[in-house]
Amino acid sequence: MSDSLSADVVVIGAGIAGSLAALKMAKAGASVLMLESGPEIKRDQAVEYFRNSPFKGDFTEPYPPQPWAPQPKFIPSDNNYLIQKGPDPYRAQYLRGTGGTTWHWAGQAFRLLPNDMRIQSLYGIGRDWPISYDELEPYYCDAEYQMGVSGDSDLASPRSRPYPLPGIPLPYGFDRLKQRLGPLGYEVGIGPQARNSIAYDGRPACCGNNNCMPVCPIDAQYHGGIAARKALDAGVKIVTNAVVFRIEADDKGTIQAVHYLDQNKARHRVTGKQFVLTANGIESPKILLLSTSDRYPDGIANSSGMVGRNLMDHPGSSVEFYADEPVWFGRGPMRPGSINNMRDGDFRGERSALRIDLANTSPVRYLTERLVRQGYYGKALNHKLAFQAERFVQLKCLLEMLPEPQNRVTLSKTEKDAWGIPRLEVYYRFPEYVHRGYDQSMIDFQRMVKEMGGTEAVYSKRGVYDNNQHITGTMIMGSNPQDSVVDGHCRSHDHPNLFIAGTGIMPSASTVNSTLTGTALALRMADSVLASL
Amino acid sequence: MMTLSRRRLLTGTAGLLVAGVLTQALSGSLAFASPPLAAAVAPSASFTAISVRLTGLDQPDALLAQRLYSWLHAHFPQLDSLLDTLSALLQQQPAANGSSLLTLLSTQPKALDDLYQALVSGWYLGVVGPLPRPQCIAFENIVSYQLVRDSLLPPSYAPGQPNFWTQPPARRAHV
Repeated sequence: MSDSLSADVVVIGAGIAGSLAALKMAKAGASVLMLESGPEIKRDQAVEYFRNSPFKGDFTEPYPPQPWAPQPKFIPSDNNYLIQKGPDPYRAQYLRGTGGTTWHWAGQAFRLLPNDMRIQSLYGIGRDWPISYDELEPYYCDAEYQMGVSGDSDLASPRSRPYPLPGIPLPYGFDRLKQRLGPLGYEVGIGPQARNSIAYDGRPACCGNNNCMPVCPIDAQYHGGIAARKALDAGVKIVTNAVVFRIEADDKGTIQAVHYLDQNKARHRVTGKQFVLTANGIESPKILLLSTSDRYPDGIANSSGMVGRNLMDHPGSSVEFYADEPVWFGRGPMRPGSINNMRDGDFRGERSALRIDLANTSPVRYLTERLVRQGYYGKALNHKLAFQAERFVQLKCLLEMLPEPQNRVTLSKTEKDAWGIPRLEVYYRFPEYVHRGYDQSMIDFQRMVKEMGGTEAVYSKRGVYDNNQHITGTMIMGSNPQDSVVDGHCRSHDHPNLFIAGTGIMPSASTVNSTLTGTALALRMADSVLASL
Repeated sequence: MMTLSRRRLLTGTAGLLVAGVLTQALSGSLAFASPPLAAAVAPSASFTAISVRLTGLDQPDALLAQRLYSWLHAHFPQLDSLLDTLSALLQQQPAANGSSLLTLLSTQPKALDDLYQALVSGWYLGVVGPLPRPQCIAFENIVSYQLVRDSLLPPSYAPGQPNFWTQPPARRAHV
């Protein structure tokens, strides 16, 4: 066993949250060591993998996992890395490697609404945050300037600084929907995106490769790999292929070390003054649950029993149809705009809020696959594809989950991965709150389809929802140590020198993509860590 | 590990795979993404004729034709004979398309149905072979992307200037 690794701050997980926190702490003068379970990810290789893959719709294909860092995969079939215990599926597609899952995100960089952080007080559902929007706001700004967020409207999330970059203009087809749906009260607007509208921070402007998911080929879209590279340049030491399997605490609760297995299954012990856990909303609670001892029989940071519980994401409903005019969805970035004026209101006491994305993913392959399955070929197929490709519209609605302790991940008692680490079981149920939100989304979809002269509309089914890889809640933040894992400073209630950040600590999921909030929390956490050194 | 340049990325990778360059240069994980293709075999007249019918194009892409034919040659014994049989069937039933074609194929020997599926999937999607591990033999030059190339590019490619998407395509050109 090696015992040579040590730093002021040891960070577990080199995704976007951990890397930007590490960068900030290194710039402040701290020695920072970052442990990443997966390999270094390289953009050019990812593009090669994508173009050569038979499964273009599988966002994990460009990022083949290493045996010591398996990751969920569902195409062509479930690899059972996450053991589904039901009753509903939870199919999170996350990556293990430097930069993490933002390699295949869509760059949507929304802030929460202030009310999203007070849903218990305002609507009698879910949980309030222990911190206010105003306390988080400066860190939203910091995160946006690091990531190069483009935008135009504040979308009802107050700002102390303007967006660092001007908004990316809507595609032609989006503008057509904006004009036609606006009179019905649906406000189609430019979304805030971690995607360059103009050259920024050494990276080019988006030129519409329409491949944000699974990989932007030109780095116009920000991702955690960029953050990790900057952290490295700032002096952070990154150890890849380091699978942390234990966090060690003394009897007083102070974290003394973390232990990892390398790619040869050799064990290493890493010491430090402060410890940071940013290994995503699934793998982080796994590490905490793994770290049992006589003193901590339920794992580290788990005196509340809340580690792994309150799992939330954004169940998605959808509709697709052919508009009565050409709209050419699939030109420009994949998620440049959405309908944002359905995210808040008193209705949240009864049903989920809604946010509707206009899905600008090129439909050509999807439509072709369907036509081939239907038995078309030659000129008949070509004629249909030409018509469908220019008129295809897909709308995707994100629904809000609530924190419910029975929705959880827990260690399997029987199944282990190739490195001998227990795999996770997932228990997940969509509440009626979500189903009622679905019902409202269908009412709105039907109005939109009618207004667009839509034909051959296909609506998603009640209870059958897409997952959106916005993992939240599993190490929930709160002011009460008896029902939460970290406090408002992202510090573990149980361990004074253990901090947790990223999306997994969010007490509410809202209806917006969680990455910007998870990153802002990490930057706020970094201040607390630095103050503790 | 060798670093791939942007120029190499844009030259198209499937050809490099045929030559075995990438499989030697990259780690074994690329083989996970795309196994090496079958050795190149020149397409037969039967294949060329049926490809014109199946794609609706007078001159289907020559490079894709070679890759698809090479794969078929390695996976279908008596390939040209089967191609002739399938061609005759389609000629006899020119109106069979969509569901009626699926019905027609369901009455034929499985090898003929499999060949049809491989041909259409290969030409339109660049993917051949059964689950769980089909094979990608083409991407940007598949028929579907070529059909709409003046309005919708293959994902990961771009026409160049930012914000082009604010305007409708200049023209609706199809193959």
